[in-house]
Amino acid sequence: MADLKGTLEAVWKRFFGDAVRTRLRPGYFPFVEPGCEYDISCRVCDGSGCKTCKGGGWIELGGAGMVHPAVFEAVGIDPEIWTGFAFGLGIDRIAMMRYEIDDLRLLLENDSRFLAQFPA
Amino acid sequence: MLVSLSWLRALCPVDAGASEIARALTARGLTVDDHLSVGSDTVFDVDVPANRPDCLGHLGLARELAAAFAVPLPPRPEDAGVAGEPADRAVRVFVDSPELCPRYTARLVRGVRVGPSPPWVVERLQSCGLRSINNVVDASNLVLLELSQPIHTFDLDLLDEPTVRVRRAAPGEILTTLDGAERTLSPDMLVIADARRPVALAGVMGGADTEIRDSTTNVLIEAAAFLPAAVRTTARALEMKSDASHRFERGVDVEGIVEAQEMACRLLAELAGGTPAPGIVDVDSASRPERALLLRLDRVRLLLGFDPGEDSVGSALQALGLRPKSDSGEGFRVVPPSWRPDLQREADLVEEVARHMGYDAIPSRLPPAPGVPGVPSEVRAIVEDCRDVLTGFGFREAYTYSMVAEGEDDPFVPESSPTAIVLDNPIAEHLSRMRRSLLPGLVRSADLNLRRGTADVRLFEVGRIFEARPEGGLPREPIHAGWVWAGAAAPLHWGGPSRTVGFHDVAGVVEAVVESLRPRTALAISRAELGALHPGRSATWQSEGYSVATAGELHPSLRSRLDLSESIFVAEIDLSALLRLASPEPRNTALPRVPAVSRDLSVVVPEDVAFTRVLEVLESVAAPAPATFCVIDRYAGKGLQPNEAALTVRGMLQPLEKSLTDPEIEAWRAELVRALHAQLGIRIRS
Repeated sequence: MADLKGTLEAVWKRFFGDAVRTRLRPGYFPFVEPGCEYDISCRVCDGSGCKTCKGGGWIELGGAGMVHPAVFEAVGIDPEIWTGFAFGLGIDRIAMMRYEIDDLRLLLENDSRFLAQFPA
Repeated sequence: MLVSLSWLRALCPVDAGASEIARALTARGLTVDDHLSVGSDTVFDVDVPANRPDCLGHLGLARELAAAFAVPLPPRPEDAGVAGEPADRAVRVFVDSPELCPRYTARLVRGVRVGPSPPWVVERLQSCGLRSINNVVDASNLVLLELSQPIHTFDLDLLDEPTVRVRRAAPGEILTTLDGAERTLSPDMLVIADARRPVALAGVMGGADTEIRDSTTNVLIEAAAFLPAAVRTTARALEMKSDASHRFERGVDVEGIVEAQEMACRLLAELAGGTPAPGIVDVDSASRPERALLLRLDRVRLLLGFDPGEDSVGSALQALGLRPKSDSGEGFRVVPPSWRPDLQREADLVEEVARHMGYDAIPSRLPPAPGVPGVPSEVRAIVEDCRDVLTGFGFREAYTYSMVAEGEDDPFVPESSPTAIVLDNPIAEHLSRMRRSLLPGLVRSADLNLRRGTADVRLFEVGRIFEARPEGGLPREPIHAGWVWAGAAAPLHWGGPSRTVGFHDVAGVVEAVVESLRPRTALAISRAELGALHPGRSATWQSEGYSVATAGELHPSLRSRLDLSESIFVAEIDLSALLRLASPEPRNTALPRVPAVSRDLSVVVPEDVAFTRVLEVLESVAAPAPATFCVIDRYAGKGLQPNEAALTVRGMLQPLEKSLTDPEIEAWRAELVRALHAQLGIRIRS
């Protein structure tokens, strides 16, 4: 879990900037144990609470955790020897946060004027 | 789930304020999404994870608070006094289907007076989003909301004999449920019946015939455990989700059933003046597997990545009610309480330790990474290169759904293609098939842009398509690149007016993309046979037997069917096929020392003769030196038949060693003219 936390921190600092903090919360996903959800500090208010983060100061990005021993067993890997961590994220959600996109539909409409704001 | 803070405080006397309690629950994985004031109470909206059925009741959450704030839970209230004929003499219970009902209990309360509930009951229910009905029904809702154990109350005097039989429904048997709806049942549904007829749909909803009414005086209380999967099937088949079915589907605490009965009796005595009968009818076949678990301290260290110390691990387990026993300093043996079905193996206990200590206690550490940097795979490389080339041509990258409507992609794939893969649970009716082409989505996006007034629409997408395999199994998912082009061929420019995009623009991009991704690939071009494309303005490219690309103008009939405002040109490349092609390294050859010469031919070509055919004839003529050809002008209109075009073809000769003489060149030119006329009936334009 410490490796997972360190990795998530490194990823999100690189993506959103050094000021970003990462937080793990207990969460349930059947394929990880211990499991968690992870949040990053709100980029709009830097964690002090605003409309974007509904006052909480944190924004949920995805689920993560240590690979459930039953998952290892199902693929013939001995969980006594091997451990691993897993994390997921919603790629559109990340884009929305980074570029301040307030409506998911914009991402699938492909309006040229919208796309032109994000040159390759 | 809506949770009343005053109710929580009544179960677990914590001093902390509402915000602090909300934070504590959230930190323990019971996320408080929102909290608001209802009267003098505070209501939390708690997101209870699917593996914590115990927390679908206030007591479960109170246990978490007790652990979080180190406050002992007060003992449960004393049992209500009993009198009268014992329950097991007044009613008989038969469980015919123990596989669907591991435990069924019944208690009786006599002499109730049905009427309104006192204000504290009304307020508690209100906080939890429920309306007060009457004191008997409210009592059962209070039990459900406190213990997460649904109970049902029957009017005892309306039960035939009085007998309770838990059995599968007979085919076509009918039950009118509490909501007034008449339900037709099937044998995969479990019912509670009396001697004659079904009186409740087990775990889902009671029946109207035996419901509590103003005249009810004697009540039979049912508290049971039903098989979660069976309740789910029934609730789904009849489309009737209830607070009870929600809890049965997640599993109830088999050991908590007796306490649920006791609480119900207590409330019926207190709220409705009833007198509980002594005893409980208990038909119990539930299996109770031994759940002793070992938690090794080295597994805690390994999975959490830090060492919390034996004492912290022990006190976390203690606080959570797991009654840890030290195992010779190596770890702890625990027996999880019956209300924690989620604790099945060691890793679950590791999570419990972390949850109790708080995930903030987990340090942050970057794992060591191998010192060899990764290189992009072949697939990744071609996808990135393709994006770069198309972006360079002024296309913008689009992103569309991988799903299409039934039949939407039919015209975009060859007729011989396997049928589209059908989704079992589509997110919408118009997204029920996996796409076999990127073009339907891109065409839709192009149309949207045109309607919004964009003059030059150029969009591309790189993504997977999905093709069922004739032999079955998982589908093929080749990567394609597709693009659409509509409106102007180029942005506005002071050099002159802009053309409208045409077939040769989009075909040119196909060849440029292929040349860029797999240089020197030999392509054979032929007419495309796709329903979506204009038969005279479309083409398909092949190489080494693979179909590599298709491009063209949308067929006018498809355009009118889709109600498109303008003509749209489309192209699609199979990048996975390109990856299979060899792309030889270039080799230097000596440059010729003598100049090239050229001759132009202006010829009139009938519309039905493809230029590739013209080229074949020209290239078949014996030349005095290596020859190449290109079109330098095309004309159609005045002076020609409507089905003709005039092409000016430049033929170039590049001698390798000695210069050519005029007679040699002219003889070649004459032979070109003769061959075109003889083989294709093409005449020279005068």
